[in-house]
Amino acid sequence: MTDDECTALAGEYVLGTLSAADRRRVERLRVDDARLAREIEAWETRLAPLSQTLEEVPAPDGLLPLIEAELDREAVTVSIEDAPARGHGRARLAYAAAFVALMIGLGSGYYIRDVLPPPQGQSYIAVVNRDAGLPALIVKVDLAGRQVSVRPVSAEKPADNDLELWYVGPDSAPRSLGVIDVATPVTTDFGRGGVAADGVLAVSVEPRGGSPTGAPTGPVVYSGQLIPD
Amino acid sequence: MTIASGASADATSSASDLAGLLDAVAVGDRMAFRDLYGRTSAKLFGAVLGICKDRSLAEDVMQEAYLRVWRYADGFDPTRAAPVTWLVTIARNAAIDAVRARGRTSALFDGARGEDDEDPMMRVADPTEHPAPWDLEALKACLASLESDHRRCVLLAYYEGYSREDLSERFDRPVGTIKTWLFRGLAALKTCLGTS
Repeated sequence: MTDDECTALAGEYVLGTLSAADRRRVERLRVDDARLAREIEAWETRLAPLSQTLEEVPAPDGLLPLIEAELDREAVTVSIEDAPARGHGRARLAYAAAFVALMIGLGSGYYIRDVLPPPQGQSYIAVVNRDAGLPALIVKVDLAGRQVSVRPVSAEKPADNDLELWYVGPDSAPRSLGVIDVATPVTTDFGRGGVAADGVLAVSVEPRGGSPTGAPTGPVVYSGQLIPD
Repeated sequence: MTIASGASADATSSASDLAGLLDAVAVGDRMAFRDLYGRTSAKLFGAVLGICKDRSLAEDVMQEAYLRVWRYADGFDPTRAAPVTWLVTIARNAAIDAVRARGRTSALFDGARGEDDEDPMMRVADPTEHPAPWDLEALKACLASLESDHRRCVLLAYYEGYSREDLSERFDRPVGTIKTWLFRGLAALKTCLGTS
């Protein structure tokens, strides 16, 4: 792609003249193509003054409650940067609520569930991420060998905390799979027990060394559903 | 600051107010979210309705847009964009995604032809009560320097969400011609803004 073509593609993306398929293509490309990403931002800036000329139209009454109801159904994802080093009682309660919301939210499909062919077997895979962002971790669970392999992709953690990985079954309390290293792949013991059809992996921010209580005490920052590998 | 009569929400919500609200939304502050919605929903609904035409679709898009605002508020970077720009970008993208997914029906498209021969430049050229900041003046000057058809393509796309195919129908030219117009128009706009 020449510079001129890159400018035009980015400009058409920002203007919105591309087809749905081309829009998705640009969104995929911009992740790895710094020139395209810069050019998209540049067009957003160039055209930004037009937003001052947009006519204001009062939004219909009743829209905000609908949006808030949708937010209630969503998991609460707390920014990693704002995670406290140690949760206060109230914050911990909020995190517990967030955990429950997370499990409900997964049911309604707000988290990426990669569609892989579902052969039966003894191993599962999960793409663990935040919202629809880049994968933070790729996790494989091998039930036969009772092993869980964690491959960090883009996970980040606050300097003063650790991230802890949890398996959350539909009926059981979150089970710790250990503290994870955001730089190095690790393989740990999955322990006994199977994986439920709607089992979920979640990553919470914890004090250094992991949760002191055996249950998540910090905000859930990443999550993903386990699917048969 | 003197607030002119009929001042818009823009005039009363400074960029720093909105940036502060977005910071609060990023950490899950619902009150801040409601406040942000109150200050910005008319602007965003205007942007979305212009693209969607259909009120019911526009309402669905508004829900999606504000959910994206809630989810991605922590990605807002005040050094890169003004809050309103960031919000309008999210809303326009949600509207265009929705319109592309649905596909224009000819009825909707015909409805868009109300002001058929109006040059959308008129909209930009409208005098406002507040003097336009220099960057809007610069953009208006550069848009005015484009060939008329190229400019109309750019503005119909921005305000009304026209795709290449929609523009092809509107101007009764092949899609390839529209693509060329957009290519030339965008290149000229970039050059003009780069030197202004």
